[in-house]
Order: sequence, then C-alpha cells, then structure tokens
Amino acid sequence: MVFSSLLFIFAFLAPQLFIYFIAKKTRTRNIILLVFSLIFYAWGGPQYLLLLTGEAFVSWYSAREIGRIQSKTLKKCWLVLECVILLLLLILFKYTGFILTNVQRFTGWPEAVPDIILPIGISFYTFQLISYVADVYRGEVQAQQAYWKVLLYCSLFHQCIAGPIVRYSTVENDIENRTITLDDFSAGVRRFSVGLAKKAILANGCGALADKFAPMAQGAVSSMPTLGLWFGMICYTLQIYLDFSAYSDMAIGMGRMVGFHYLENFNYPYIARSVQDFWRRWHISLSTFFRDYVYIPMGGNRKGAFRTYVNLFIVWFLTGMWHGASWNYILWGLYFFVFLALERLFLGKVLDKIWGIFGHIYALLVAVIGWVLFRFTDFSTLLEVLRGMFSFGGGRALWNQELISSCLNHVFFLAAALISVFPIGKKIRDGLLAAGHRKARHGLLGLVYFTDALTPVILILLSVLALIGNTYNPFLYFQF
Amino acid sequence: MNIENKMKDDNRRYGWRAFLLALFLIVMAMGFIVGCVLFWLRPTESVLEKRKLTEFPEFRVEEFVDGTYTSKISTWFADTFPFREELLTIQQKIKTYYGLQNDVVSAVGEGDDIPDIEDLIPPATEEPPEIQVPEESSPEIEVVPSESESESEPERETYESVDADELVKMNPQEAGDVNVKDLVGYCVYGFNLKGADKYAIHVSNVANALKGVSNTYEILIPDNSAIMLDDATKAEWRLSDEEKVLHYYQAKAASLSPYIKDVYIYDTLMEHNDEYLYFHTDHHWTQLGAYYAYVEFCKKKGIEPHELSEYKEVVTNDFLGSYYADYPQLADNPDTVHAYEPLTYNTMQFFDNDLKIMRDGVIVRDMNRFPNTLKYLGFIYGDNPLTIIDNPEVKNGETCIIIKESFGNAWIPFLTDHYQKIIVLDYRYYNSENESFMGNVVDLAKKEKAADVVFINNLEAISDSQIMDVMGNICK
Repeated sequence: MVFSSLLFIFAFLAPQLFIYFIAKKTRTRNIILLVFSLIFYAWGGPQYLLLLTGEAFVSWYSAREIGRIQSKTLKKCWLVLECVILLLLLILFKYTGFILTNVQRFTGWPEAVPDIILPIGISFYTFQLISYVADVYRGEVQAQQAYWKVLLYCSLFHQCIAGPIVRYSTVENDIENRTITLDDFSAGVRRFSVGLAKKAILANGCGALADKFAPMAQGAVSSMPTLGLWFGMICYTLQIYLDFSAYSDMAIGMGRMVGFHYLENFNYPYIARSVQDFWRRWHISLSTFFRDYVYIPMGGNRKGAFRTYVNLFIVWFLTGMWHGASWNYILWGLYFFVFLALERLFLGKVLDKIWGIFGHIYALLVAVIGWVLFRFTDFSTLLEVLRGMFSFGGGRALWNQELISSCLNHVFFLAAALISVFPIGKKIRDGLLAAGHRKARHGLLGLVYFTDALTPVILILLSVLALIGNTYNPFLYFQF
Repeated sequence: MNIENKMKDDNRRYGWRAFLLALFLIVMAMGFIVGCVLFWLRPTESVLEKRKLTEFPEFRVEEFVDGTYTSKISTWFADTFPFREELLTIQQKIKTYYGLQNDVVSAVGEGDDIPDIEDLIPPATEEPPEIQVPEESSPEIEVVPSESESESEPERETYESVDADELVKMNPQEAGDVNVKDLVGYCVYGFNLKGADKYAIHVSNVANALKGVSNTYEILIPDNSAIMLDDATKAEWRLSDEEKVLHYYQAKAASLSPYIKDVYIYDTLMEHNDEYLYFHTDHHWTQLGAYYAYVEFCKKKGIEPHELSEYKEVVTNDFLGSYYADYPQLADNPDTVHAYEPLTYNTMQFFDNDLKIMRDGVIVRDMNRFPNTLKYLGFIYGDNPLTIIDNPEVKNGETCIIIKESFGNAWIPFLTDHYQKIIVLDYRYYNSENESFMGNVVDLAKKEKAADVVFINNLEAISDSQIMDVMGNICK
C-alpha cells in the first residue's frame, strides 16, 4: 500500500485514526498501531511478514542479551551475529540477482539467475534494527524488553517502507509515553497534506514530463533534442526530491498526529552550496546512519588522510549500493565520493571564498548530472543521455516544438513545483509569524492561522482529485 | 507580546487549529463513507474514458500470498471510486490552469518514407496478379493456395489469426498522438509502410476473389490534420503528406488487383475545407464530411446522390469527443453534431456484444439525450461487429457489404436509401469464425450475391500494422 493512494487515505488511515483516538491508554494505542502496521506491511504480500517479524525477533533477542550480559566480548558477538544475520538476509533478497548476474558474465555460471522479489521496506527496517542493536551495544539506549515493542518500532507503517530510518532513541520515549496536543495534531495534518500534495500532484506531474523528455528507451533518447534532455532531467530532479521528501513529510506528519516525533529527513537539498552541504540536506537519516555506523566506527577522519579517503570511498560505495542492486547506483555513489574528496582537498575552500551563487549552481549541476546516473540503469542509454546533454551543435537539435509546447503548457505547474522545492513558503510563513509576534499584529497572526487551517484540507482535496486521475486512462481509438 | 496578548493569540490559534481538526475529520469521514460504505455507488464503466473499469478481483490463495490480490484490490478501489467521473471532470478542468496556452504539440509525425508509386505497375486485367508477401511480415504470414485452381482466380494470402479483442486492449492508443491548435485537436499522422502494404493486400485479395461476383470499392478517409490544417503547421508538425500517402495506397492496391474501384475523396474534402467537415474535439469526421464522400461514391457507382437538403436534420450541441479526454481545454470549443436521417428507412439490426444477440436499433438517433462525450455513437449504434440494414423501401435487390471502423458509421446512413440490404462488418470486432456471424467477407459476398463490397476506413486507423493483421482475419 502506498501513502499516496485513495485506499490508504480513506480505507486505512481514516479508520486507523478513528480507532486510535477511541482508545485512551498508550498501551492500547500501541497495540492498535502495531496491528495496523502489520496489516499495512502484509498488504504488499503477507509472506514477507515472516521476514519482518523474524528480523525484529533476532534484533530484540540480541539487544536484550547485550543489555543483560556483562562480558564485552559476548556483547560484541551478539552485535556481530545480529548484523551478520540481517545483512545476509538483505544481501540474499536484494543483491543475489545482481551478484549472480555479474558472476555469470565472467564465469558462465549459473545458467539461470533466480528472480528474487525484493521484500518491501527491507532496506529501511534492516538499517533501523541494526542501529537499534548498535545503540544498545554502545549503551546509548536501554534494551527493550518487550518483543512487540521492538516490532512496533521497526514496523510502524509511517516509516517502515520508505523511511526515514528512525533511530530507536528518537522514539524510545514516545513508544512508552506520549501525549498529543492540538498543536501537534494540526502540525501533523499540515505536514501530511503537504507531503500528499507534493507526491500526488507535483511529483507525479513532474514524473510524466521526465518520462517524456528523459525517456528510458535509448531510441527515444537519441531523437531527443539537447534542451529536451536537460528539461527532462530537471523535471526528474524535481520529481525525485518531491517524491521522496513527500514520503518523509507524510511519515513525519502521520507520526505527529499520533504523538511520534521523527527527525527531519530532508532540508531543502537543492539550496545546498556544496556537495557536502547537499548530503547534509538530502536523506539525512541515511547519511547519518552511514556516518554513525560505518564511517566513524572505521575511524572516520582520525586515522590520517589516506584512511579518511578509503573510509569515504567505502561509505559512498555502500551508499550507492544501498539505493539499488545495479552498477549505475554504485557509480552514482562513487560519483559523489569524487566530489566530496575534491571538496575536502581544495574545492571546499574555493567555494567558501567565491560568490555564493556559484556554489549553488555547482551543487545543483552535480546533483542533476548525478540523477542521470541514478535514473538510467542501462549504461548505453546513460551514455547516450550524457552525450545528448552535452552535444551542443553536434548534429542533435537544440530544441523542438514539443519542448516549447510542454514548457508553456506547464509553466504555472512547474513554478509551483519549484516553489515547493525551495523554502519560499516556509520563509514567508515564518516571517509573518515573527512579525506578528514582534509587533503584536493579530491580523498577521490570524492570517497565518487561517491559512494553516484551510491549506491542508484544500491540499488533501486537490490530491484526491489528482489520485483519481492516476487511473485515468483515456483510450482514444478502438473502444466502444 | 504581553501576557494578555499571548493568551489572546493562543486562543485564536487554538480556535483555528480546532477548525482545521474539524475540517480534516469531515474530509476523512466523508472519504471513508464514500470509499468504503457506499459501495453500490461505485461505477463499472467510464463514459469519459470509454472503457470498462476494473472489477473486484477473485480470491486466489497464491495471489493473496504474493500480494497480487491486495494489489488488485488497490487498483479496483481507486478505479471505481464513487463519483469518479465527476471528480475527473474537475481534475481535467484544474489541469487547464497548469500552463499559459491552449495549443499543444504533444508529438511530431515520425512516418515512414512514402515509396515512389512509379515502381508499382498495375497488372494486366487478363492475367492473375503475382502474390505479394510483405517481406517484414513473413513469419506471421501463411500463404495458402486458393481453393480454386482456376487460372482466372488469383491466389490469395491469409494471415495468422490475431485476437482482435486482445489487440485492442493491448494497443488501444496506437493511433493516439494528438496536437491542439486554436482549440481544435488534430491527429498527428505518420505513414506506416508495413500497415499500408498489408491493407492493400487485404483489399486486393477480396477484389480478386470476388471478380465477376461483386464490385470492390475502396474509400480512404484522410485525417482532419490533412484537410483542415494550413501547410506551415503540417510542415512544423512533420506530418506525412496524406495526399501522397493516398496515392500510394491507391497505386499499391492497383498493382495487386485491377478490380478495385478507388473512390478518391481527398480533392472534394479539400474543396470544402472551409466547412464543418471534422469535429474539433473528436478524431472523427462530421456527417457533412461523410456526405461529400457519399457523393463521390455515387459518382463512381453511377447513381444519383440525394441532396443534403432532402434529409431530416437532427442537431445536438455540446459534443466533447475523444480528444477532450486528453485535452480538457477543448471543452471551450464544443462540437455540434448535425445528423441526417435516411430518407426511406431508419431501422437496423446489430449484434450486441454484451447480450450476444442480434438487436433492433435506429440508424441515426436523436443524440440530445446522450452523455456529451458519446454523441458520435448516435450513428448506427457505434461500433458493433455486425450490423444489418434490410430496407423494405428499396426493391432493387442490391446488397452491399461494408468493411469499416468507426469513421464509416457516419457515412453508412446515406447508403441506406440505395440498397435493399446493407451488411456492415467492423473488422476490429467481427470474428468470421463466430457461429453467430456470417463467415469471411468473400464467402459472405458470394452467399449474399452482394453487388458491392466497400472498404471505408480512415488512414490513421488503418496505419497500424497489427490492426491490419486483424483485418486480414476476415479478408481471407
């Protein structure tokens, strides 16, 4: 089940909230959340429930043992055991096909590569559970004694299948004891509705334009004019942020409605001034996971320059690989490693000194080209797109009628998408609130509260209309 | 802010927050009731999209375990959401505010080169034409010897059976590229050589097989873009030159059979292109366009056409056709349907696909009560596999068999007054092996002793090579 569907909003979320608020005790509410989360997860195929509950069991048991025993060696053994089991399962389900395809390419074995279906959310909950056990090992959190609460932590439908990768420490208190205020609930509704609209209206619309102008088929790419490819990739750049951050917005919003306070996962990454800055703003829960559980444990930057670069290389190799079992994702990760290494070497200092706008342009350009590597899993198509984007005057048309027409016909839509990618709305709201409070202007404050109250419902209604249109499939000919 | 002001502010904020809470609860509760309780309000088909909506899936254990079953429920839930059609109309309207202009260039033509027709030499009438097998289709084609060994009957080709329904579902938008200019939708036509050659083979096979039995006519209908657009725009959109294409179709068919009577309507449509020959919001021609084709047909056949003024005219406003589904801005330029009832007789029988029986129907209906997206269905009840008009007012003993897609629908009513019997086959749905039907075109024409067999089709609709394989099924 995806958040941006009518089934989820009206047949799942609505009854979930209703039943949740009928219950009064936190324990009962937790049980309700757990049941709904398991139904939510099972919706994508109940067979994978076994994997989720099994991994949660291994992690719960390991963490409990780590908390109980005194021997540091044994604690480490439990940690290693848990990590090995979870990572092996992740490799089995996510990377077997990829590994065997490559082995087959060089050795001819095996004859047929098995087609293993990726269980939904496995990349996210595996990391959550590893972080939980590692945190218990480090003594940062207490081991949870109740298995079902560990299961609740990793299966919470808000974040189970698409992040953010929530640390146990973030929700430890919320699981045991939480209160929900009207401010909390309304902030949650606001956040959820913004996420829903970002996904249902903007991301899907940008996606359609990206599919048209940065098509996946090589044949279509070769006839696309240069500016068409740029336009397509810019739309994809918008789409991927709007899509991914929308899921985090909805997760944070739904969490807040029921009293959970998840950390931010995105912080307007496209206003970054450097690639390092970009990664502080993009998928924060993933980059902090790799920082805290891979980079720093390997020594981070404390073991000399060479080791620092080796550590960075490993982290970015893994970051790329985490995004998908394909070489282009690994290339994408290493591509960022190169820029981060350059910034560490000298580029960072240059960027600090020059006019800020150049930093923004540089970071955006690196991001857009990065998305080319991310989007095209087929290498020959990928190269064709890059060749096309940089072949000014090389026999390829610069633009065509379709491009002009699409730009003009989506000019307001694209403006809305751009506004939502940059913190313009947030700045205006914060500015009005600050001015209202400073000068006790009730009109200004009233305006903000009024907008806060109406916008979410309008956004939800517009999103519902857009979602209805998702199955819209006008057959021009040969019907009726 | 002092304490008093702060309290005031808190109260106001809480007031608005409570208001939001109430609105949110109302929306969620309404969504829940509409989506999960009022299941009888769920639509089963879409008038706007002209398709049947997803059905609730049947439970299967293996589909449940691997998640397919729940995924089908998700699709069903969204696809049949109550008031879907009304909500879609609003969404369509919203989309018109996405950009600055109403003109849309969604695609440019990418047609095949049109071969030189001088290379195509018509066969001598006395000798049977050589078999033409399109080389690219050779694996699909099974060449069978003709039933008769007689020298005067040329050999024919047949195609492997293609399931028309499957193809229609598989490839519904094959012909779907549309651009919009000044609130008129235009078909973006690209010539398809493979499709053209297959079409010529089917028509010539029928013409050759029916030599001495029936006359075989071919009417090819150009697209609205060819007739109504200015040359500059045609060039800008890189449309294939339909005049040249028509000559190719003509010459190709003539090279395969000397017995085809081609009714060339391009010139007459161009002469009248300041009139309302095609709809703005739909890919079809108007019945006025069809009338000029009827006049040309009569000339070729050597009969006197009726004047347009002789017919009873029924006018319907606010038609929003197939282009509207993709381009909601066309709602600002709705069409008017001028329909002309046959002079002598307005009743027909047709095979109802849902009921699987022959039913009575009206040839030209008053479309005022039709939903505004379905008004083209007023001509011969839309696209049915088999339609029969037995006109007791005409006693000339002549039968005409028509092979058509939807463009033919507006043209057929004019023929009613000239034949005692008209049998209409929609090649996309007519299955010559279906027991309820009447066999393939050749057998049917022989059995009915048909005076004429008419192929009337739109260039865009017959350009797809796979659809032409479907036509091949009945032109054996």
